[in-house]
Amino acid sequence: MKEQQDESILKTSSLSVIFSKKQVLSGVDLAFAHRKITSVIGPSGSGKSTLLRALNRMTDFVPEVQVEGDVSFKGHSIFDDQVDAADIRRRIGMVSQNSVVFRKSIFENVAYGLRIKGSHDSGRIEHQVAESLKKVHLWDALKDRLDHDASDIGREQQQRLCMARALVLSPEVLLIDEPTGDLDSGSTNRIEVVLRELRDERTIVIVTHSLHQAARISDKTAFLHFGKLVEYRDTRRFFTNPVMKLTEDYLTGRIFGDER
Amino acid sequence: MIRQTDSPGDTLIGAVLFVAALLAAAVSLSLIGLLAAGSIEFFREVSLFEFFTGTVWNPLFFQKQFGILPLVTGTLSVVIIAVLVSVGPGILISIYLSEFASDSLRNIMLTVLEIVSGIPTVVYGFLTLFWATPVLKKLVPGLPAFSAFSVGIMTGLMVLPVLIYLWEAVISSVSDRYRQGSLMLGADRMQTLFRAVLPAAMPGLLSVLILAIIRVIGETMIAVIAGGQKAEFGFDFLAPIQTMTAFIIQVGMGDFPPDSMEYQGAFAIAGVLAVTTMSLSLLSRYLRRAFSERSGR
Amino acid sequence: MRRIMDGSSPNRLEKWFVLLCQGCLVLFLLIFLSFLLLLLIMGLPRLDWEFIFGFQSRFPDQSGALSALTGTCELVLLVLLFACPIGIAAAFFIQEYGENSSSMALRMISRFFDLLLTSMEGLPSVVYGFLGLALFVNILSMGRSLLAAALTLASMAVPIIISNSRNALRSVSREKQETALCLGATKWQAFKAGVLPEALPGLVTGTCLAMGRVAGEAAPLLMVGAFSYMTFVPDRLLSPFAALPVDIYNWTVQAGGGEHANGSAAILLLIPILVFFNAISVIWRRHWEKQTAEDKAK
Repeated sequence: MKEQQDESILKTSSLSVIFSKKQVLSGVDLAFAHRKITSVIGPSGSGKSTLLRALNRMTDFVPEVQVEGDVSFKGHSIFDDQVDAADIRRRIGMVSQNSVVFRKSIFENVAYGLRIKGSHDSGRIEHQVAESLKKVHLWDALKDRLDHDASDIGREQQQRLCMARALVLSPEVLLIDEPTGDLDSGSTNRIEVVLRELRDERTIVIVTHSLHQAARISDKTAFLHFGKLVEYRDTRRFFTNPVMKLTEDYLTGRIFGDER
Repeated sequence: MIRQTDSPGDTLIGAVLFVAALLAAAVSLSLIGLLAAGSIEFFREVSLFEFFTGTVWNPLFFQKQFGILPLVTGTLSVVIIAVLVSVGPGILISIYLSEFASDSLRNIMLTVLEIVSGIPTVVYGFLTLFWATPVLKKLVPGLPAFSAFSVGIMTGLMVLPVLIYLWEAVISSVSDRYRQGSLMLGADRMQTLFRAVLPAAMPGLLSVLILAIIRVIGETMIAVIAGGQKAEFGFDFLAPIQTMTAFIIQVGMGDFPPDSMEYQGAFAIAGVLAVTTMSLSLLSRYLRRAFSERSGR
Repeated sequence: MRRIMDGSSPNRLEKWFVLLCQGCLVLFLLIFLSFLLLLLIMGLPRLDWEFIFGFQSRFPDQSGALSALTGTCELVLLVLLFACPIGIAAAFFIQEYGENSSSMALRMISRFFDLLLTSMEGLPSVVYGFLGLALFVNILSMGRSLLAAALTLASMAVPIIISNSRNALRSVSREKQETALCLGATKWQAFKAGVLPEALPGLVTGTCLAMGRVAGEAAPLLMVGAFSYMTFVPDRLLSPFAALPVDIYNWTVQAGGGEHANGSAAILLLIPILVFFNAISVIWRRHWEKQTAEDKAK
């Protein structure tokens, strides 16, 4: 079941992804709502991370991958021959699960994307790095330590640093795989606050294994079960009144994902 | 490990193992002690100043002089040429095997490289005379039969398999997530390689390079067979040289009595070699540790 | 619309770079193949049963490598005898007892051993050779004999064996050992059951590699007095001896084509021996590493 009254700049149509003969996603149709947080949930192996990776063509780097269907960003297919995949990745930013900070300074970590893009204006870079760090609430904490090694800061701050890394390119979409993975509740809370603030200017899609988190912060929820989209609705109605039996079974714990 | 009081069997075995370790350490210590003693004997006769700054090395002739610098430039010439020859191709091949080659090619090459790295240096010595010098003579007309150039090139080739194999391991050990992090930000593969992966691998790469340099410094047979055993101060790569290691062989093979200056000179040179390689070894370990720590391994 | 992606399309820079790398690899392989070719051309004609079973003679085309071959074999066996037990036992001590000992003194001693033996690893073989000459041949008056050479090479091999053995021990997961300890086994029993089986391949290959290294060394043997003109098989510990690397050296530096051919043939004898050691170790180790990874994934 889908509800599409929201503005959407990122859509998939009949998206299927096959990794060396193994079908990971089958015919997924999703229009992600702009200025909203969408969470993608489902048991392990449902293809949630693959969906995310297909959205910014990170699947290009998997050997022997087959992609069927389409993903369109602002009306144009991202798989077109004319399209510059790197440009897509800058406009559809991603923070992956357990992201690793570069072995550089905090400043250089955030500035990395800008330098790759070819930016040479150090004044502008400094400004953009500062703005980005402010967005993730790290500026005050780190502004005097920008030249320190990025691995010196704690796990949760590193996660936010990775978000700043992606944000510095001003992406219109932000994809995050497990934003708070194995962090404790205090850290989780800090990151969720940031996510809510970021929503105002972007499409945000998160993959999360935590139903609680999905219920807490997302506006829309999509349920993937073994590569197929089962249900996609406003979060509140998704959780209180699921339409599909499969969804209900999953939410109530009757199925866990080992079954087929 | 769980700490508990040891049973009598354990204590006995522990004692036996301790004795073995003690024996190993004792042998090493006595060798080091001998080295130190011999060097000290030498420096009773020859001033440290003359030794370390003198540019003439003539221990075997009538008017003995003991400036170490000709031997140092001999060894250094070989090191410089070997490094220049091996670093470029070495890093390119390692990068290729780690990042671009197919799995089967990579596995085959790594196995071959590891096996080839066990070829003894005397074989390379032979090859220098019968392969390198003729080939190099075509490139450099007028190249003498013995030169730093031949020795350096061959030593570089000798060290190449190990260099590639160890460098590949360092580059491969940079995690895939690291690479993905860069690709996600809009970088292509080359940018990821040169701006993220290689900088991250740098301490490890340097550590391996130092290990290779240690090997080159300690290399003997190529220098003995094809170097010319002529100790001249200077960096004329097209001239014959004598390396520190080649000198030691010269003394060792001759029949010099233990109290002769030549014999003691060998102690001093061996001492310099030992101190150099041990310090480099520590440096390499330090860099290796810096590399592992930062990658959280 | 179906698309098949096979990794992202490389840009021009990447294509040229990969080509450059491949060129280097090809060049490298060609050079080493030409080495092999040269050795075969020069040495194969000379490699016959007379050569392998003959003794040295004044006439190069009647010289054989038997004393050298047996000398090398005897050396390797002796070094194995001396260095292997001591090396492995010392590694056990440092790795198992020393680091986790409850006594601070033992821990410090162990760390000292560790530092000492690791520094000794980088020492050039000439230095070992010269010190062996000074200690075993001169001071201990063993003369230029098989025993002195074996002891010299053994002192060189011990740090290598210790290092390799420690790596083998380090790479074993400790679960079985700790389980055994919890169940009341003594330290040694727990070690024997939990660590030893898994570490054994690594220990064996580590020793093999060290032996391969030692068998090829010429520099120490030249100084400790390997003979170049032996007409008999070395049979007593204090007898003079010959070794393959040394014969190779001697034949190489002499002026005649006959000698050079002999040298080449001797190399063709030596290399398979070493490659055999190395190859078995490397291949077995890689196979076993893969096996362990597969087991862990199950």
